[in-house]
Amino acid sequence: MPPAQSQSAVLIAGSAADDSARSPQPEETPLHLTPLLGKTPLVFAVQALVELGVKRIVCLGWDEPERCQAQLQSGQQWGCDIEWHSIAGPEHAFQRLADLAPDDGPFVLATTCTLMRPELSKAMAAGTLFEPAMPALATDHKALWNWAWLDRGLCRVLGDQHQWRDWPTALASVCTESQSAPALSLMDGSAILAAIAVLLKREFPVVLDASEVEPGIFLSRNVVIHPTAEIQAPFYAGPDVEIEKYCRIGPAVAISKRTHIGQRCQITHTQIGPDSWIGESLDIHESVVFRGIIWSSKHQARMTIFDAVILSQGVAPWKWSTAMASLLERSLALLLWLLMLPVWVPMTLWSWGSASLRKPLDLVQPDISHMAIPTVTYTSWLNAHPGTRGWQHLVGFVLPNLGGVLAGRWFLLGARPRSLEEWSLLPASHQRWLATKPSGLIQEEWLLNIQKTDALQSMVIERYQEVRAHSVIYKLGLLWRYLRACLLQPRPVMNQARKTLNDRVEPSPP
Amino acid sequence: MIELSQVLHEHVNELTPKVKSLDASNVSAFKDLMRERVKDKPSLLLNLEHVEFLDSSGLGALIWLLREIESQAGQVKLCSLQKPVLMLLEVVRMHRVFDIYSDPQQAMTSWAK
Repeated sequence: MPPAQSQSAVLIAGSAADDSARSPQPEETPLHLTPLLGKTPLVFAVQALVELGVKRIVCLGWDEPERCQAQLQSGQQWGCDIEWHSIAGPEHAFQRLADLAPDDGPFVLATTCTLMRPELSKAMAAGTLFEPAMPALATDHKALWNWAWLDRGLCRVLGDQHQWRDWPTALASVCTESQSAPALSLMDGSAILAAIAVLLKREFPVVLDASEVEPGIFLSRNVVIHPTAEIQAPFYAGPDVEIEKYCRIGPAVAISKRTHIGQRCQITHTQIGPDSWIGESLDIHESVVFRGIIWSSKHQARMTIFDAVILSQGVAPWKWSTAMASLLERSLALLLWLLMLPVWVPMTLWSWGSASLRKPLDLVQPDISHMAIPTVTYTSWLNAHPGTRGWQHLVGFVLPNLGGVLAGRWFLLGARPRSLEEWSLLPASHQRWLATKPSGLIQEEWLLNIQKTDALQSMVIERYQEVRAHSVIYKLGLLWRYLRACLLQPRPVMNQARKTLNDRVEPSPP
Repeated sequence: MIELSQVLHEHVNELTPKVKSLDASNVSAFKDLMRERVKDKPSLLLNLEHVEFLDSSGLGALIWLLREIESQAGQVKLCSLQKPVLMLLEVVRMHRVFDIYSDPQQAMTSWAK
């Protein structure tokens, strides 16, 4: 067989675990775009290929091609040329491979399912399979999706006789030689969690974008850790991570950028973020957390939690400016109460007389102490609850809880979609419009993949936004929007959606 | 509207709410239903096989139930939890507060011991 002449590679982006319970993130985020120590498996694979000496990479994929292209761009930043080819699905991967294979000699066939670091110590021949040098690092090295040196002829055999999902057996059947290389499975969520521990222990040769401040503890810039928080190696924190007091974090925890961990959390063997808010006193183990989505390796199940009380429990540090803002906030709440006084007085009298009108709503603040789990009790009139809309919400939920609003719980107010169903009814253009607004609800940002360069947009939790936004203008705007929505527009969300849609269809003249 | 099925064993009252989501929209109705059925029945087995989603008010209802039953010197056990619900209980540390069993038979056996 001829020695390797070209420095080309074909990288197939996709995992058999996508669209399954083994994929840790929302359905629209495939494994190769899952955060892994500040990068993604896609970027790790490209960097490994460049280190191998590859100058031209052809990427082949079917999941989220635009996001992949946005990450890789032309490849200039990695020191190579990258071109992206989209295919309809994984069943076409091997067939397309023969067309895309360079005709000037062998090339590296790589996959994002496995991270390998092969070395080009000698000229490689087509039909060489890279096998794991450290089998213990691969979760199940028998099923590892190895990289290989192939040529166009072997690709035709693969396309004619094999399916992409049979990668390990297909590659083994066409390769006649093997060479050992460090390998790490990134096949599914559990493998990614295992890989984090291996990478942080420096048992696999990659460069991390962080400083090792103590053995096994990697911190990026602008990381804030409270002195009472306990960190156990191995641990990684990306840029702008905040960890509050009495937390116990580690071992094998990776926290991606712009993530906040609330007080007294206990976290082990977990990947969190980016742009996530973790509430107080939560126990998270063997999980991948991305904003409001928690995937558990133990249960092999994913859960979406869009509950601001569980997810966030933000307490801003005391400052003069925040104290003044708080005073203004209460003044605004008082203004609202005065406005609503003609309704509040008869409703209160009526609720005293009629037990069926008034119902308590207990929301839980998680805590460890048995039987002392604190609950915040809100009052509901007319069967209203935080998810109801318009007049029913104003009269039935906000009005009886005006004391809470006076105490600063502004999250009781809201005029935005409160469920994924409600959100999905909105036109896409309106979803985009809402997502740029600072008082947005978390789900909007999850679904829209907000630009990561914009810290303001990527803050995802309503409570966090509420805690953060202490400006008078924000509070006035919130009050104004709420009152206008309740008093003038009984269905504010849908009305605004129609308006946005009309604006898009019939743009107003300049 | 919440449907609640009830099976009275010798010492244990097994209740199964037939609802997919226990959240702020139906938690008051759930508590009203439970209030009548747990009176003077100190051992309660809550079968959550139909519940796929809990929010914090649903968790609040479980805590309320625990307090009600323990004030009667009784015991609450949960069984047949779906994975997301179990995950949520673990995340907020409530799996340490409740006795959780995979199925009703296992829970009944634990009472028999």
